[in-house]
Amino acid sequence: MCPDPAHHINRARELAQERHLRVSLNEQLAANRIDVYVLNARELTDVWVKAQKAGGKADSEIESQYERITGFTLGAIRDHTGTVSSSIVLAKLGADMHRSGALFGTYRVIQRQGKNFIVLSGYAGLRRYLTAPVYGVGNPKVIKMGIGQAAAKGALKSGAVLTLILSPAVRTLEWLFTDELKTMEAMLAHIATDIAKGFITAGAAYFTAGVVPAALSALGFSVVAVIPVFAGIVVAIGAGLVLNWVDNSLGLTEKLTDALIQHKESWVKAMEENKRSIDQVRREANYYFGSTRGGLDFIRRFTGSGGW
Amino acid sequence: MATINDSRPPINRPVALWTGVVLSVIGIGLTALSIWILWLNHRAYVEAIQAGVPILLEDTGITALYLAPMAYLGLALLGMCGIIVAIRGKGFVKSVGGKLNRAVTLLIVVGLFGALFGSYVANKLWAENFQNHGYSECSQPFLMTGKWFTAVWVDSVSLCDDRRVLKLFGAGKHVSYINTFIEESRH
Repeated sequence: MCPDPAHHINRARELAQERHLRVSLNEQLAANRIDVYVLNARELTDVWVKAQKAGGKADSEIESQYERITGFTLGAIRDHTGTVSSSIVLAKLGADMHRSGALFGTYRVIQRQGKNFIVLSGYAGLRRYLTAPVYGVGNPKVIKMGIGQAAAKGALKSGAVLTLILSPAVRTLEWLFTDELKTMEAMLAHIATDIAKGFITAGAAYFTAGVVPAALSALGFSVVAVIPVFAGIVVAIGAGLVLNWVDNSLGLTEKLTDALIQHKESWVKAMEENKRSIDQVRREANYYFGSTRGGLDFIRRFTGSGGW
Repeated sequence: MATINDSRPPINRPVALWTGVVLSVIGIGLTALSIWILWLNHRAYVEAIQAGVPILLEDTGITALYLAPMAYLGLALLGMCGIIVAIRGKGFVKSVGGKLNRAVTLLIVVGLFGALFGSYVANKLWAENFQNHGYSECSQPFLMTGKWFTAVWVDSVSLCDDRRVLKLFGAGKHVSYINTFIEESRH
């Protein structure tokens, strides 16, 4: 069967864009502080509006410009966004903001669990518009990452702590660019176990590097100063590998992922039940206090003549 | 009690004892763990190859444990010296101390560099072994599994790009679960 050339061209274009994004992200990681944000259509709209207001534009002007760019009114997007409309808003608004060049360097529209998001790496200026109401800390789909040379140098000074900083960054990038194949729960579980392993390994390394000189001086030995450091490194390697092996053998990360998924599902279920209960209360309140017949019914039940 | 002319330095017995015990425990413990883990790992690989599992995950980091125990034995030796000195209440004579000192240094340095070099060689040998049994290595193991120091070996290269497999890895499923899924889908 002859392969479809258009499909190959599109795929090649996607791969080239992705490569470009990776390269530029890597460059920024190496050179600057970088923030990676994940926003939905409503959040991106809020950021865009704030940026326009900061530029001194009037509300009416902003609304008409928004409609011209996206084809939707501001109110429609803020109140309700479907899958199609949000993907259009994210793509068009992202392109417009990227063209202006002032807010962020790279962006990509992704789909996770049927919802559209824009992933963008921002300059420092972008942080001004991502304030708490737009970009809540409690928002589970928001991921922020800050790495810079200063942070990396500080981490290098403290040895094994580097893992603790790099792991979330690497795993976040991995999650963002692997096309819907990884769940957020798996990513969080991996970060959690990485950090736990990192702490234990770093502790073992520091402890050994601290104990060895004490032992040497207690014994009256005088060895090369680098030996305690070497001992710390080799113990860190061993402890890290043993912990990795334990994790792989017992499937701790996998179990944590399952637990997170179950927790999320039970939370969603509880929220739905709460919503149903609230809806029922609201319906009953509307009936009993919003209509004459309901009012009479309420009085009848309240006085006990009808039963509740 | 050390005489004024004694060349041996004064000994802090409690410190020598406790550091000796701690270092001995770390050294012997890590050596024993390394040997045990390597033995279990070997057994797991042999069983996986015999069973002909579709996906085999190789722990490429654990191969550092082949030679790292040399360094751990160095730590254990240092620890035992501490215990002996604490029990005796006096240090080693200079010639013995010098020899022990050199032995500990040598074991730690050789263990550290041996762990890194030995890991490289052992990974090459394991790769050859898996290839001889008909397995091919996937090119992006971290993107597949999300695990550090892991190589993915498959009996069919198409599994490396199989979206169902990638999705199962992405959902945090254990490799045994994924293998069962692949075997069932093949039947």
